[in-house]
Amino acid sequence: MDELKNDNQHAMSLYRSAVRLLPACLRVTSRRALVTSSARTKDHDLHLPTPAGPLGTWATLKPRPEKYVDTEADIDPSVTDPLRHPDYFGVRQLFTMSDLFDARVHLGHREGSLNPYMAEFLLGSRLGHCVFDLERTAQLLRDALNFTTHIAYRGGIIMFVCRSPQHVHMVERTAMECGEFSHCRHWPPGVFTDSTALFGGVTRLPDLLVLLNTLDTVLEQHGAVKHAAKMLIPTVGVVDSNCDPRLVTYPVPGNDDSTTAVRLYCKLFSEAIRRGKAEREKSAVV
Amino acid sequence: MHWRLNRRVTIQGQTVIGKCGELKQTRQKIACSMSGCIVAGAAFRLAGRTGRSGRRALCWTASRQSEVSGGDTQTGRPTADETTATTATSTFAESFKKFEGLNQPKGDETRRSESFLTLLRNSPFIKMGDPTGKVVEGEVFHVVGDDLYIDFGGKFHCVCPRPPRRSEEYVLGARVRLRLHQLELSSLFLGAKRDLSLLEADATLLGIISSPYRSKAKQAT
Repeated sequence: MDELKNDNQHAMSLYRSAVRLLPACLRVTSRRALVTSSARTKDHDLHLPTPAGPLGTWATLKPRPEKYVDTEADIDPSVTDPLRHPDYFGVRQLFTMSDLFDARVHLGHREGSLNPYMAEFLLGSRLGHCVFDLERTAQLLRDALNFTTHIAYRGGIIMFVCRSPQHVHMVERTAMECGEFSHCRHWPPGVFTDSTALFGGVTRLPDLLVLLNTLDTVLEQHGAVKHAAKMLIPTVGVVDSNCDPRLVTYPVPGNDDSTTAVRLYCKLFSEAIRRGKAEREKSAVV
Repeated sequence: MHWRLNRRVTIQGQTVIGKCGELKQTRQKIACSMSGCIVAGAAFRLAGRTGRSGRRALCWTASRQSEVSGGDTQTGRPTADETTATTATSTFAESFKKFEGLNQPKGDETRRSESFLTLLRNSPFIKMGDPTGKVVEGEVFHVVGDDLYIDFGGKFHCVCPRPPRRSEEYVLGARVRLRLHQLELSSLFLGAKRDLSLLEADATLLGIISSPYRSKAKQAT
């Protein structure tokens, strides 16, 4: 556990130093109202994963887009830039609350295996079994799908990762069907960090990692979470109540063990990718 | 429950004087006096003091009467003695019709618009309470030798050995009855910080509900 904590901190500090090395023109200049403390004032104008506040994750500390953007507003015909629109691809229509509920997304593990950083995403626990707050999950899932679609729209490489043996085949098939990549087998340590040596040449790494299971075994976090953070690759991850959401860029708190839930995630992500790619082809043709 | 005589009841601006007595008689009497008034289930104020249960009972009466008077307005106001018999049977018929659709599945629109808390509150997971000892229905979704992997609607599936009796019927797609013990086999071991989970539920197989084997055998014969 201590090694994991040290590793996470090491990864975070590497990430931070890597961002500082970027030229100023590449840094995002929009100011976001982050919670500032005396230790963090110097980082407030950079987009960084939150350094560990006691129960702070990126998902909680960043302000919701609804605060400054009206997501329910009708599409303004003059807004043509996809990045300016709150939901250009209409990903919020891809699912409803009852879809999530019927797929058993709200069911978590027992309280005994609860990760303290997941406590903020729970509605509570029923006789020792954790229950996710699906209102919160729906918001974060919409963010994750929106981000995935934008990456696909811009021609990014998306890689699916899942280490749950009963779902590996389903995830690999999903990735193949939407024309993207997957790595659902053993994760060698140098896949991202030492890719040139491992693959025998300069390799283009994925632009987005979609993790349908952030754990490798029940006890260990998947190496891809840490390595993606080190290589500045954004991640979308389904985090169950026993997972650590801190290094995941777009955590989606929900069930990652039931087949119905994984089937729903596969369907949603593949549909989001398809929409992004279709829009890209349309704009290329035009 | 006794109320004072001659309570003044105001229904949507119209004042009706109803004679009060015992609760049962009150219902019928006020029902009679309110014939002709269209209340349509709206709440109404009671002038003076009355208990909360009294108001509730009157509200119930008012909504019942609205259904009755809907059909009776043309015939005119019936007398008190005649209506007691007819209101008794007609209100039963009306309430039977009202609750007829209770067992039918809800339409898609109502299901989609329900909030998460409503869905959760009405779910079997909450209604079940303590899972230990509960009998549930499951479906065999995977078979490995004599091990049956059964999904009963919880987070995890359970694995049960195939019983010796009627063993040929326990095939893929069979619906079976289970007695639950635990929804998740997880426990804290010595020296560990967190629980270790087996990612499985614990249940005992009770018997078959329906099996594709049986239906195939029937089709063959």
